[in-house]
Amino acid sequence: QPMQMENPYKDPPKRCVLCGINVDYKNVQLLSQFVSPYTGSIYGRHITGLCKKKQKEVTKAIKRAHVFGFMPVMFKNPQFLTDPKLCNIKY
Amino acid sequence: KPETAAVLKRTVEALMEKGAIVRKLENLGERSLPYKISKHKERHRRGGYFLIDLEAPPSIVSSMMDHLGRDIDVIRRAFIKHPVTKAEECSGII
Repeated sequence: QPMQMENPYKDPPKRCVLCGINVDYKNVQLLSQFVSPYTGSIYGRHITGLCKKKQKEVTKAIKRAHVFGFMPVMFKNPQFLTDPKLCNIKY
Repeated sequence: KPETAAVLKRTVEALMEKGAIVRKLENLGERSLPYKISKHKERHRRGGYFLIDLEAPPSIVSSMMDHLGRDIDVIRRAFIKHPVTKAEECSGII
């Protein structure tokens, strides 16, 4: 008789880039990776590839950083222009 | 620099008077602001960032925002709740 067991060949759950990383409005470098270098607009989830929770956290942190004067609004901080690319966007 | 020390001292004293318990005072450095901020009839380009960790009843918030708004040396003021750090249970995309 075949024994009932859960699929042993299951893949581990897919994690997004920020899964497990604490998102803070203070680390502007991390937040600037999800912002356009030309307009400073925040990328959508289809570009960043984050899960719903993390995308919301990142958006709230970026808007907080804008208001508190940590991150520029209309462009990306030129210091962080050469950071590794996290979003799949083609310029 | 003595001016920044005086500003910090004033704010912390005002906070303690209203009954807040100050836990930590961090200096996040002095850097040029990401955009020019005009406050109190002046266009500011550089500023010092400070983070005060405190425990206080929520009734203090509005009076402190008033107090800090009247202070000329404070460019931008804000109160935030402590972020609840619970990020270890992120189970990935379903």
